[in-house]
Amino acid sequence: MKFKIVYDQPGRIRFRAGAYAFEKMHEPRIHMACVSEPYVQKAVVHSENGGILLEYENGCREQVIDFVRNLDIASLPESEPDTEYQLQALDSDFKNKLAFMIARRYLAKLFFPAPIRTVHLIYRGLKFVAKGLNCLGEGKLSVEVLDGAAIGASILQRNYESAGTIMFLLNVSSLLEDYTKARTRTALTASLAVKVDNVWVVRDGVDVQVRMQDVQVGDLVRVRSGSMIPVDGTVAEGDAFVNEATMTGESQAVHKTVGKSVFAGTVVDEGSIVVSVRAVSGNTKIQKIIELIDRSEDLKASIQSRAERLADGIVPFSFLGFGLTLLFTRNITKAVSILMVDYSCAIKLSTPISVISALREAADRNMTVKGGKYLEEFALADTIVFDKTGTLTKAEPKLERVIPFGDRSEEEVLRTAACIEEHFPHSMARAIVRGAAERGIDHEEEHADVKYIVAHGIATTLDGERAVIGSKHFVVEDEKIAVGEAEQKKIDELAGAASVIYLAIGGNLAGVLCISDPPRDEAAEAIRMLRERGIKHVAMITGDSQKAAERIAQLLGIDTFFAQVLPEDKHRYVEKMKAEGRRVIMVGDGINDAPALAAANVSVAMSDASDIARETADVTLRSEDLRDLAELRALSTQLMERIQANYRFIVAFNTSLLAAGFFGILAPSTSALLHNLSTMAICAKSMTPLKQA
Amino acid sequence: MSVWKNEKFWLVMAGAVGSAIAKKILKAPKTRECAVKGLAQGMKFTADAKAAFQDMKDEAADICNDAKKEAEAK
Repeated sequence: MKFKIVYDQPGRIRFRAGAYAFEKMHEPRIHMACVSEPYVQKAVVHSENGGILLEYENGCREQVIDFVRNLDIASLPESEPDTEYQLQALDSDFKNKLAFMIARRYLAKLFFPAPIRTVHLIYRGLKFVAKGLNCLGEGKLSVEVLDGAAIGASILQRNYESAGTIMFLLNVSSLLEDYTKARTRTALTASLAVKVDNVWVVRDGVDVQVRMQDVQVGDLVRVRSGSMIPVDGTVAEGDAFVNEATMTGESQAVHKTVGKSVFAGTVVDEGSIVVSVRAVSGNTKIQKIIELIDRSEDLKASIQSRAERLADGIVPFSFLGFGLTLLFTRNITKAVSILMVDYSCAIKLSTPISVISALREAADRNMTVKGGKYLEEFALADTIVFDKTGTLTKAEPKLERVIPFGDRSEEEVLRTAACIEEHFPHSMARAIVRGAAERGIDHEEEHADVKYIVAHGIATTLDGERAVIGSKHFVVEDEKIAVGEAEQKKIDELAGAASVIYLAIGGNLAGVLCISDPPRDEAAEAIRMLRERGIKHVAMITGDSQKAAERIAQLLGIDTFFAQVLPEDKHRYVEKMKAEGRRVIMVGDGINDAPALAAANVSVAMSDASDIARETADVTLRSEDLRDLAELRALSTQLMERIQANYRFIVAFNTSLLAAGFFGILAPSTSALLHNLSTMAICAKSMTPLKQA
Repeated sequence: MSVWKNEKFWLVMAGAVGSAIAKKILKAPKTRECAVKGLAQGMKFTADAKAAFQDMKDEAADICNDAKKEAEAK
């Protein structure tokens, strides 16, 4: 590529190849090629002037220049634009459109004579009037009717300056709204993208773990209970209940059998299937989720829905005001002033922009909130309920001790446990697998297909014998495995406050695995911060022993704890608290937390949560820091305060304008200008980051 | 009164002749060529304006970047 270097400082260089060096459609692939170079930190590409700005690691200037010199656009592979490029393109597009609008409005006066400008203005004004008439025809007395009436009345009065100002400001407001929404959508898309690093591929009847990017069309991928389906495809083997809520919004799981289609991003609730890959996941599915968030009335903050209803509800009163002013003053100019000012567009624009900006801000801070409704609930909640394991406690519980029984060795018990547990994404399972790895114990696939009994444990067949691993409740009560008095005494003595996982093979207790689960370093501070931000009651639910739960509750200053809770009962505690009149936030991570997460007013899944918990939860944290909950609380509270403050300002300011118009203090064009400027200002302010308390 | 002396008749005739000539002009290859050239120049002007505007934005961004670096260095 031929170019000129127009800026050259250490770490930053700008090349310019001229206006026709490449097309707009080539920008994403050039951007992708640039950022794929290891020494390039940032790239900005503009087809308008053939510009490429590169920020690079110091000392790599020559490599950067060589790279651009050898850039052959025709041979670059087609690529999907990445998030950074999309955001840059959105910003640039917005700035250009805004500049064009302003230039058109003020430069037109220099180039075109007044009659041509008037004809053009009337033509544009008629579009607004037609839109208003359309709404009226559909029986809706909406903001569009008001806009159309205000513009139409100004044109009829030959007040072209006013009509032009109103249209200009309406267009700028609309551009601002579209830009904010598009930017938020893009940020959300990136944060919701399928993040599955490894998958199990069936090759010659054996499950092999491979990286997601190595999966090919036609491969057979095994997906078990609680895991996300990482690809689009057809069920080739097995059957399962699949939760397709992310695709369809329907929370009822669908039974999928051989031959049925499954989609990336949906989650296997129960069962195990082998999926023949039809397409690896792209952004299509994610786009659907965003659409769901955007369109679904259920997901809108009720304050947003209320604002929209209120905005349309005010419109008839604006017309009433117009009629009354005309009746009492017999002055059409004063009456039109009333039409120029309305509360509705400011309320209707600023509220969703505030909500969307807050959603984006949350996404920027590594918190994915799946709708404005949940931010509102988070601000209003007075109770927070934590799952203990993996949520309040460290994300990496540690295998402390293995107690073998019978004639088995520690190593044998651990090898078997790790072999069975490695298929399941739960923090306890990971502790066992890691414990085996740290002790240098290799484990091969010796068992038959494993069956995950949700939230209880795992069952499989090993050398012809049934092997089960899980909680005491599952192994001892459900599976009827006897634990002798001496064995129980030994467990009590050696386990202390640690959680105990039971392993039984062939109907006999083979051993137990003691897993210590210290609280996260920041857990106590996070709880204190939540209290400072208005949470009145902190509770913890765990399937763990009374002793372990009590210790954690004491350490962290938790008000109430429920120990030895059966997984299927967790949600009952949440429902009970709701019945007592509390508004509950549930924070969890495991498959077993999904019903409780669904039962709460708003639910949060931790970053290392199982796929199903992440899918069920309304909020997903992408960092492992519990203090993010306090940050989200502050963000949501500030959002509510901002909406209320906006509302107060809009009512006060526009009422003053109405009064000034009624008494003839302000001309219609001045009213329109002030009204629209205030609307734009409040929208622009609604886009600014919420300050952290 | 003779039709040849009727003013309105001549106006109609002039209109008809004018329309015929205008149609010829509009359909003439030369007219098309001029229109295409005019459009192309308009498009080129837009592209050049966009390039010039982008150049200005780039240069402004570079100046800001230098100022930021200078402030950080102090």
